[in-house]
Amino acid sequence: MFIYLFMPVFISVLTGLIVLLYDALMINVRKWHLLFISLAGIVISILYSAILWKLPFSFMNGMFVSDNFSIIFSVLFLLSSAIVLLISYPYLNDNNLNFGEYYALILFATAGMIFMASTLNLIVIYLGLELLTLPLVILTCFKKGRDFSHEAAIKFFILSVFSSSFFLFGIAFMFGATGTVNIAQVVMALSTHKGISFPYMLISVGLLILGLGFKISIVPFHIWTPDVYHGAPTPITAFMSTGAKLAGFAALIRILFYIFPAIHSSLTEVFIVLSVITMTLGNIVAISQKNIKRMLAYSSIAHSGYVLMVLTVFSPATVAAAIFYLIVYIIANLGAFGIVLTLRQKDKEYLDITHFSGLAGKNPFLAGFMAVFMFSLAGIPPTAGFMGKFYLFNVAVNNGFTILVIVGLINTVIAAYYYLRIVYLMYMKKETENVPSTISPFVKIPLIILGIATVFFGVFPSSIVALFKTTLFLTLKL
Amino acid sequence: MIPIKLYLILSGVLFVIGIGGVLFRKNIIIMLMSIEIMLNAVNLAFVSFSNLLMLPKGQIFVLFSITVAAAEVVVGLSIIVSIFHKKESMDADDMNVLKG
Repeated sequence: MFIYLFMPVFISVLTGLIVLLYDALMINVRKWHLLFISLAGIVISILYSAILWKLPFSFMNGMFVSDNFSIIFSVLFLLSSAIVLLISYPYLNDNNLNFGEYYALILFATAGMIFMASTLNLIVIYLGLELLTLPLVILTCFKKGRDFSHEAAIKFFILSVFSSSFFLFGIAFMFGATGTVNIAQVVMALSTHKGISFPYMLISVGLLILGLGFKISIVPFHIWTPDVYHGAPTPITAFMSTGAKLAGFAALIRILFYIFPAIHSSLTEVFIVLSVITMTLGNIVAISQKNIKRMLAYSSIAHSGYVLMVLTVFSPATVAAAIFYLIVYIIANLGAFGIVLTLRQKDKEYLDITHFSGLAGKNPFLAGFMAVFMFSLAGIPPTAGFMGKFYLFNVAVNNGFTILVIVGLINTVIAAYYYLRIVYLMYMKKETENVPSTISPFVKIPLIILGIATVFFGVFPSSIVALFKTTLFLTLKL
Repeated sequence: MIPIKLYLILSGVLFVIGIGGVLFRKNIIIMLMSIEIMLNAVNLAFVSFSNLLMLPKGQIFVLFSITVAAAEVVVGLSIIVSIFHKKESMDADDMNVLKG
């Protein structure tokens, strides 16, 4: 009976193993079989998650919980991995990288993300974090023979292990302060033996936020982001900036939700400062970037800053707004990276911003979709990005963070400059050099879906936000 | 009997030594070793807290932490080996292609 609860994560691990064995043992492996098996696994996993909707359950003292919050995130992780697998298929073929390991590692990383979102136990969050990070490190240097892919991998590896040891030290202090690593029991444990343990508790929360802040690239811990996003293969960059980042947010939201009541407002100011510097620095540095992947890296830093705005107050509205914003962000980001992927010929990629010049004349389909995704990231109606920012700022004003919202609005204006520059280059400039574009149905279909989703959530956002408000929050508290 | 507090202080000192190693040394292998020192400092903290609170589960967490550390070393060393094949260098300052 219990096995049903583990099905989403179990199936993604199992599919990964099957893909590995299939590639290793079968003679005459057709490469699309690997893609098909992985996608089938992901679809079954999503269906199992859908079955578990509205059946909140906690297993082994909160080590594995399955509530609406975790299911929403699991489905998002699985969908983003599916899209990443689809858009990377032609890329892998052209670079002779189409091995079973690629699919298996993405599926293992997805399992790690699901663990991070569906547990109350800090040790399990740590294990999920590592299960996510190690496959990502290997995937970063998957394209052998390129100088900077190894460099990106070692930078990513050293800094992520460094930061996760901070996270682990935070868990040790939490254990020392309260005698438990279950975040749902922390508040109760703290009230029973007060006094000596409170400083430990503060140290612990600081270290935990540091560890997760690295994953979601909050500003003092963001240094790895542009280098690693630049050096990794483009589909992996798409994966890192969507699924992996979302996993960090899932764990952060859950930890803060349970721990904030214990330490009251000691952290509110910290979060306000972090939010302001994260979005400002991300947006200002993004302006001067020449490489599209670096630009999107800084833009993803800035988007983390926007979400941090509301993570100091927890109510149904704030959690719903944060999750809606994250969904909108990953849709637009996956789409933008999908289009970056199409500007290449065989294994040569064209990653300069100027390579987008005159794209509209050559390939109106790509240019149109890129414009939609850029509008969404910039927050221009009628795309989903506008509604995401609207809900976020609305919630922040209602909770009295007016100054934060003003900073956020100024930042939106700064951000519009570099997003709209791409649109300007595509539609107003003449082509400077001959940039080829290879577009296959594996990229075309996800792009169409993502584009439709961007416009759909921009026009009809209220139904999904209302759904989050009513279903998500109630079961978060088991 | 050595008081448990001293173990905690030792663990903190080891952790800070590890941070210093990662931040100030240039050799990638030494950086990796410093990270191992940090992880072992955490293990020491877990064990001493578990002794302090009389809760044996703290020692179980150490097993998880050791397993993860082993997996990390496998991935890290294999990347370092492939870098060494390419660059003939272990110096973090030589990793300077990506910037901007």
